[in-house]
Amino acid sequence: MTILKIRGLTHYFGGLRAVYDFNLDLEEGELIGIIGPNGAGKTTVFNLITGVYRPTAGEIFFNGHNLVGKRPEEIISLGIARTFQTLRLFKNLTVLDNVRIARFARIKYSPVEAMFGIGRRVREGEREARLKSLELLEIMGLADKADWLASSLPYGLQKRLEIARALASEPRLLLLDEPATGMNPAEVSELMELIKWIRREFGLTIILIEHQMKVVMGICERIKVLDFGETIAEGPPDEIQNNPRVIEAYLGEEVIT
Amino acid sequence: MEKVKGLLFGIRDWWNSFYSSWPEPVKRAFLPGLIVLFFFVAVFFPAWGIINLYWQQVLIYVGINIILTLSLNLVNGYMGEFSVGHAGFMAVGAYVSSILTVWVLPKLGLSDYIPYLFPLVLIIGGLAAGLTGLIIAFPSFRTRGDYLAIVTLSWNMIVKSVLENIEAIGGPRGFMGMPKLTNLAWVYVWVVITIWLIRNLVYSNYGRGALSIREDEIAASLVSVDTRTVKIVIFVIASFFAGIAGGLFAHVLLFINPRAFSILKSTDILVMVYLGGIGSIGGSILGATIYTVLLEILRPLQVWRWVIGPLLLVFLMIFRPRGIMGMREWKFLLPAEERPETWHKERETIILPRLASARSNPEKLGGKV
Repeated sequence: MTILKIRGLTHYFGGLRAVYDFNLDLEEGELIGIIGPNGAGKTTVFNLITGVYRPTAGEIFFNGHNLVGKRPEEIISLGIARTFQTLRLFKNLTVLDNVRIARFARIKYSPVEAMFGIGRRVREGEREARLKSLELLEIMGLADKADWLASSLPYGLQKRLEIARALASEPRLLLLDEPATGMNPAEVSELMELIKWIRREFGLTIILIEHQMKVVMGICERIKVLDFGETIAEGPPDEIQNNPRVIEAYLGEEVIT
Repeated sequence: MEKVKGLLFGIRDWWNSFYSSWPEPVKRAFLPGLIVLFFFVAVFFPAWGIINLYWQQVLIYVGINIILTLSLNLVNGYMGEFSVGHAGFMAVGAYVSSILTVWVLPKLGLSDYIPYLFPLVLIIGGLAAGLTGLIIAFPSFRTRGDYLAIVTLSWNMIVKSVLENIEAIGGPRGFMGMPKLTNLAWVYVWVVITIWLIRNLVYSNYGRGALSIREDEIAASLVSVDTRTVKIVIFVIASFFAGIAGGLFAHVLLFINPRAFSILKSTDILVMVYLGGIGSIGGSILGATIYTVLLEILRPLQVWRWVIGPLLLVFLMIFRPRGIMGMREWKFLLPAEERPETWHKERETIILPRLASARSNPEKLGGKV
């Protein structure tokens, strides 16, 4: 079943073409990678899918819903979650609150109920949010630090916290934006295991943006290569590795003297 | 300065160890007991003449200021927006409740029941203020950034000018004839109710939504927080409580005029919020109390005491930008479910067994996850 369908996605920042004619058919359960040099428009694609920017042209369908023109919180509530290239945790809040906030749309009670703090919907909604978040923290190895401030965690754990937060909204599609940035090789292989594991355990479809070839080549089934906003190649990892256009985009043109 | 600090920390540590030595039922009964005890103090001490009229008045203002500070702290502290026209909402509450007790209720032949209807009158005043809050919130939260400050500033000025130009309610001369309904006991009850309601709100889904907006609005919307709704909800609730405070204020002063609700009043509330500390209920209580009492003590300085407020704000911003209790909370104000002890207990008793029985668990990753 196709979970995400993107057709002719194009976005301009003023006169700058960030993404041009991006197409994608994503099957449920797939794990695909998007790679490309800096400024190729990878993160912009994520921002377009999640409604941070409104595309100049093109269509995005998630699970039958048209995402173009929807606000980010509506899109996330449909079952998409993402992490950020540079960490965007709520730094002055506790680790638990960081995760719990992602359950915002799943908790349904009115402000008046919230103020009086009584009623089954408040008690059970809160309890469920707390337990679900604690469970995710436990899985990510953060449960003993539930009451720490997010800013006091070491970098590696902050990365994990961000993944836990993304999972807390129970997504079907997870967008990971350069999760391996700033990690050493040991941490990177741990991360790869983690991604594989959460994918299996939570039944996720994943799009991964990554710079480190090892990660993308190691776990992705299919790779799209962007350069200056255009898709220059698409296919399985081994094919991409030997594609002359990809090598050119990454290493530069061969100069013939 | 260091000595004072040492003394304060000493008192805190002594209290913490003393408190934790109590048996569990005593601990649980402590806070309700304290609340009831203070209620009797608020009822009987004035009646027995233990608190004289002057200090009663001061304590009433402390209470009203606690309500104002707490409600503004919701917007400025918890949500991180910058509203500077809180006195405007207070004015709406004050005028609406005064019109009710002076004109409407006597005309309905309910003069004798006014003291009993006072809570209802205050709530109607609060609802009127909340409604104006809703009208302000809708356009101003469509845009991001500093617009709220500009909108609320002009809102405060508009309210003042409108009140000055309606002759029916006294125009610039003010409005009077209210019965003296506000007393220490009523103010105390309203303060306790306000603290309780706002405490619950802050530790609910909406409170967390507000906090996430303060921290990073875009990230908040990207983890499913409906930022627009949260902003409006928080702002309307803050305006509601400002209206309640306005109603209490009108019925203790017995005379209100538009000048009482100028930008200066809004500034006072801002100083109390930032003095006590943003994002803290305990801080709001401290800030309102310290500032109100300080201004009373400094009364002999006459006009010069108005220099204190702004000066205090300047020094605060330099030396302690988060205020006395910025983003920290008195432990007894936390709901039981929000204490780390509870989280750790739930982890031990619910989460770990649940995960251990799960079909696949993170242990399979060699304990790395």
